Amino acid sequence: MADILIIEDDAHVALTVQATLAMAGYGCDILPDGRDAVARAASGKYDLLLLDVMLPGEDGFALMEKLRDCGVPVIFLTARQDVLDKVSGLRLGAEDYIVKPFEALELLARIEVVLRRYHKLSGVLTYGELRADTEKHEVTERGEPVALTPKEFDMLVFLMQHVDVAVTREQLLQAVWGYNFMGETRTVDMHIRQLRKKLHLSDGLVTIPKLGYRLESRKGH
Amino acid sequence: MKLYTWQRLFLGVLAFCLAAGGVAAVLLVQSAFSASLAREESLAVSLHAEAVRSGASPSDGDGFFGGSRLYGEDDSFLKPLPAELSPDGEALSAFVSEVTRAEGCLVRVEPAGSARLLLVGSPVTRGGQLYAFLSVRDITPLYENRHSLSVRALTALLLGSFAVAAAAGAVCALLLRPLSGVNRALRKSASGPLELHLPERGGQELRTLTVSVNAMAQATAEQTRLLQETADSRKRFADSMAHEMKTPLTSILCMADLLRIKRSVTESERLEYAGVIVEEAKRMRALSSKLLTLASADGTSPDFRECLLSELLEEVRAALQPILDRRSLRLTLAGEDTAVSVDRQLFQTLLINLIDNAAKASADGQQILLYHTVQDGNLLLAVIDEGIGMTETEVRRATEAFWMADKSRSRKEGGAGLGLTLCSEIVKLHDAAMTITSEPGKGTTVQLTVPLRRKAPVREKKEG
Repeated sequence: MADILIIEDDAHVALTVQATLAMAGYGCDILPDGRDAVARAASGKYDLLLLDVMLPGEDGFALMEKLRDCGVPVIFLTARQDVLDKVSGLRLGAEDYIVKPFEALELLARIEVVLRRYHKLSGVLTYGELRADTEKHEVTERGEPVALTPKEFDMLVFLMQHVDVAVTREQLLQAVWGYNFMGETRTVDMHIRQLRKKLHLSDGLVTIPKLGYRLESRKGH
Repeated sequence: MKLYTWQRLFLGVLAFCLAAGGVAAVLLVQSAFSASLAREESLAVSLHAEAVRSGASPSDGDGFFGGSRLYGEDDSFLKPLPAELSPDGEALSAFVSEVTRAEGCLVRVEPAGSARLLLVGSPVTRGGQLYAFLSVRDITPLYENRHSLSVRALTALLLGSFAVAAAAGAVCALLLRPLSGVNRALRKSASGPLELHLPERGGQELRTLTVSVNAMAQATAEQTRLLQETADSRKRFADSMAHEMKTPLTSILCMADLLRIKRSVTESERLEYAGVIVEEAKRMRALSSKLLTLASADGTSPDFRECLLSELLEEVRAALQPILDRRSLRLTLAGEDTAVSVDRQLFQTLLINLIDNAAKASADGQQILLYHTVQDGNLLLAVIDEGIGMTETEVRRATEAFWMADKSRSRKEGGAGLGLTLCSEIVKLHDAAMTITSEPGKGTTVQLTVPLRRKAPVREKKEG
């Protein structure tokens, strides 16, 4: 999995981000300020930088100017929600701009988008006997192709990206249908039923009461 | 009509000159003409009388006027009237019949072609026959004279009026020229930054105007600067506040989300995540209580009461005793006692904050001195510690909201970076002044100057 460098002065936020990234299987290191950031970023060890804007000493925007040449994608983490700040952050060459406070899954989803854009993530996801190729849009079970509708495929990919993580119906709606989709969560349930039937996931894809669904890894697979 | 003042003045003067001059010219020309006419008439009448007396007898030779005799001009009598001086036949016969009916002498002006004739007639009886005895004078030059005089007068009037009006307009434009400079400068400053200083020139009114405009521009610029400063500090406060609120929220939200969505959480993970949540929630609690105190200090009018300083200080010491004991710090109160008029609650909050700050800066076992004295109707209060001190830059930033000298350490002690901001608000409410002097490694002194009586006419202000 990819390695991520967190540059964040608040120890608890850094710890939180680290725990979130660890859950998704990323390796990560923490820097409390920007002093060594350029050297560390240039070392080639990291696939992505998470950069806080309000840092002691040099702030995130100033740091970004120096980090641009390292070729490592940067996502800003910031408490400022001013549109102008966002624009100036993105203009400096950042890939994304995440406003605090954020939920764990939101952070992961946006990190994945950036990493995928930089081809730092493999296009092939596996779960047990299942293989999903996100580039070819193909799913195979024990080598046999399975026919899925595009929405079913997207939903499967989202679940396979978050194995052992409970995702809510709303998050699935957003991930598959987009942020502005005003659909009903029942749509999600229907697609989940289809996935369970077509891919024999009635055991692995469990319903979490009052929350949503979780694709659980199985020992022995 | 959108006209410049000089244009208005020009038109006004022109109209006035034309009207007044016109009336005067008409009256003048008319009176000159009337005088000449009267002269001419009296001359004609006397000549006529002479002719009648001399017994010039009407000849019936030419039969032109039914027996009357005509006397031409050039004062030569007994000459028939030249053809070009013959009046219109109808008017003449009407005049003749009028004359024959009249008792005395009749005078009349009659047009004859382009000429004017002065007719003088009187009835005469010759040989039992009634005749109209007429004499005629050519007074055309009189009329020609009047005409040419009128033309000359009109020309002179027009030229003169224009000249006077133009002069008035020019003088006006010249006098008001500084106004266009004022106008230009104002227009420029309306679209750009208000930096305006007009040169003072022109008449007294214009000078007064420029002085007023300059004063206004200066006041506006000052206001704008103040507003900008307020807006800047609001923005800084909002930015810092967003940061201070959202940082703990981030940890809380993200950690709680992890606890919710992870399939399995180990015991150590649970302790770690929940620990972060609890600590950050406490941080938010400290921040919100400070913010509330700040908001109430900002919004309400303080309740000033007379009280004894020594009582107040003992309560402060009692409130701080647990913290002081834990760090084995000594708080020494010294100085003369006095009655002071303050908002008890707020003033205690102020002192507790200052001593708490001193405690945070001190090492365990050090001394904090609170010295108080009365000077020039003011209570002087100094909180002196022997702690780590601050650099000059740090002193300048100390009252800024959310600023902390040592972030990680203050946070651990429940600091939100609002203590001194609150203090300076309370100081302002008491019309007091607060100065901070500090030296790194030597300690910090915070001095308060509080007026003893409310509504004192002298408002002491000392800048730190």
